Amino acid sequence: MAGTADPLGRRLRACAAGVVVAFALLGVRVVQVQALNGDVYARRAVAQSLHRSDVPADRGSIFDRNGRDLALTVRRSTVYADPTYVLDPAGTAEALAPVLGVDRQFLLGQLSDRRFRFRYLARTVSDEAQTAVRALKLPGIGFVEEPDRSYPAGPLAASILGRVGGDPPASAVGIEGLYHDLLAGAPGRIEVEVDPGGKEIPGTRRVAIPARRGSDIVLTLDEDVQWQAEHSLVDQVTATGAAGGTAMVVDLRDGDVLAMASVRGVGGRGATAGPYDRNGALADLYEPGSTMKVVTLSWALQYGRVGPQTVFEVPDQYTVPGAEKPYQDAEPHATERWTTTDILRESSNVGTIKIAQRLTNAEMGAAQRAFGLGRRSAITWPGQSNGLLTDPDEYYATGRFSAAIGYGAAVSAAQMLGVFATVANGGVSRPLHLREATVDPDGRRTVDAVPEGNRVVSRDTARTMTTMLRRVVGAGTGACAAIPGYAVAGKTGTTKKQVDGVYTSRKIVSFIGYAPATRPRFATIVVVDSPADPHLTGGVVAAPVWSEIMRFVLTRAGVAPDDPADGQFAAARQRSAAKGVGCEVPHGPALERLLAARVPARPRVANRPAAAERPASLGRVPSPTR
Amino acid sequence: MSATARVALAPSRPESRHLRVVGDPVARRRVVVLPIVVVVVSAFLLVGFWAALAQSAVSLDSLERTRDTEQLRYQRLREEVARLASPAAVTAAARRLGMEPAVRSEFIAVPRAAPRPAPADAAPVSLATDRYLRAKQALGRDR
Repeated sequence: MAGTADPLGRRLRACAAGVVVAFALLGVRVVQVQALNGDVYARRAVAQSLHRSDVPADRGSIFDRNGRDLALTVRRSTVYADPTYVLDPAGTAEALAPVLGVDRQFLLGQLSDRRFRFRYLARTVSDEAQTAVRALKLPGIGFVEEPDRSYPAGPLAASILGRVGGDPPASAVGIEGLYHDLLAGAPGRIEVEVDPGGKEIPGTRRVAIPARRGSDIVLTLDEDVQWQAEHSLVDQVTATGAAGGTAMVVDLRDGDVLAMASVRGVGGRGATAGPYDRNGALADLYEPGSTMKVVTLSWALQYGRVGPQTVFEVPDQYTVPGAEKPYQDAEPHATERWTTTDILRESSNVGTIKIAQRLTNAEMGAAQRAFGLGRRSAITWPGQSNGLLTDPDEYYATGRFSAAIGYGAAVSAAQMLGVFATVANGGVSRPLHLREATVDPDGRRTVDAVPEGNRVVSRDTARTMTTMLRRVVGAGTGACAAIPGYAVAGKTGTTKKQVDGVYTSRKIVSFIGYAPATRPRFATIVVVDSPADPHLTGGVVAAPVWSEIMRFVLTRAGVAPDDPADGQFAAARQRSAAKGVGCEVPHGPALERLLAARVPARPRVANRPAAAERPASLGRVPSPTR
Repeated sequence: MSATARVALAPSRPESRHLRVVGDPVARRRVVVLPIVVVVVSAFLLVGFWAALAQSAVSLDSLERTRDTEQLRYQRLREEVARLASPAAVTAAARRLGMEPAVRSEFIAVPRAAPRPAPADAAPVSLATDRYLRAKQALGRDR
């Protein structure tokens, strides 16, 4: 019968069709998932099963010239907590606080915060602390390793190295900041498969990108010389109750900076090396005072305006035409007939001004610029100033003479050291440099080029100046700089300090010199800012520090003495004794005795009221210098 | 055609209906056993290979841990050496030993040749030679 179909067959066909449709839909979905959106799902799958983490690169080390570590990176344990596993936050905090040296309340806060499964408790702890924490076997407490920046010599050279890392992280300053990109290296990445619970599946860890260690930096510093410079300066700043000080030592053979110390006084109670973010030798400016006389006299000698034996009539005060007030020497004296050498030896302002009268304004300005003042030193350093020189066109009546005795110019210690390095180097400038080389992660050492110098004054002029500067130490204001066994050439400087454009009774005292004078090998500058007693001079405060540092440097370098009979030293000590000046920097018990017996600083008494009370603007006012 | 007729027309067969020729049993066994052996050996090799691989991975992990530990130890020792060799640490150690900074340096100009004993009426020796002799004398006394 045609109207009666097989119902079983029909149902079978319907089911088959349904199955076919279902499989067709499934196939379409499979194509969609696998082919069309395959990449998306593959990425999602990888994201779910793979855990990526960055591997911090080891930061490069900083070495001194002898390969001694000044800064290096060490991996240390950081203690963390998974608060969800911590059963007794209060008890755990109580137990951890003394071991980690962390505030108990802080720990309690971290341990009680169950919103997160990872909370730092103490970062980069010592091995002893880590062992002690492990021994406590506290639930929910774990350790991860983190790189930690270490400065094995403590605060030594902190103002040069700067600081990086720590908790809270310090901003990178100094060498650490300047060469951060070089030191930091490139972080790597590891990938590991994790289970749905987020736990690592063993054996699936692989390095996706290896971390690349940072390059090492080799500085020209000598750790021992740096320490000696800081040690001497810190104790002298402490002993004199000064606001701070700077010292810098340079090797004249190649301009290598062996030490660059910045010291900060602590309110008359002591001094400390640092601070980390301020390198006084390069960043701080001051009026150099009498040390500038070397520039004036060198130029006058160079252009034949004077000779070392040219005689001048030198009163203790002198008014230049057009000036309102007289220039004065630091100490009153009868009118003398002094040679150029005598003028430098006695650091006579009046005598130097008479010499400067033989130079033009333009020549005075040219002399300062020729010696490298008014432009940055060759050392690469952030925040280094060019300094400030008065334009010769704006000298007016007194500018040239103020410039001749070291006023009207703001210079850095590095610039002034460069002046003396030029004279010591036979009249050819010796650009200073601080970075000796870099060593990349593969061990390739790239030595920095040593900048070339240029001739500033003739060899004869330099030699004459050296002879004159030896007299300053042997029989002049710089007697305390003398070193047994060596002939020393140098100059003292004492200037009134400007505060907000007004000269105060506070002083900036300095000594710059080089030794051995017959074959100059090292030059050093010492600047001390505002000794508590305003009567102290560069010859009394800075010269002894200079002598102590240089004695160490010369001995350490094995430089043969050029004055074995101690001719200069004996004469200098005789002069110091006659003046009642002690030339030793107090250390240890002597310093402690001095501090214990310290009486409040004498009230400011101007020995020369006319000069002491003179308000002045930069470049217009002469002031006693020595 | 009937069934009887078809039987009659069929060619006659030998009577050895229950006998048949069989293959070499050894060869047959070989055919069966060989794949089994291959499979088993392969399985063992595979397992052994994976075991060796796992062992190597463990060794590698162990070596990496050792390397990391030694690297860490090297870093710590390097830091320790740098700390102990720092001028401040050396100075402190020297002070603990009772040493004091030298008051002054003594320079000795060594004569070109060893000094011969001077006759009693000879002129006084130079300052340099005198210092040299004093220093030698002092060194001898300290021994």
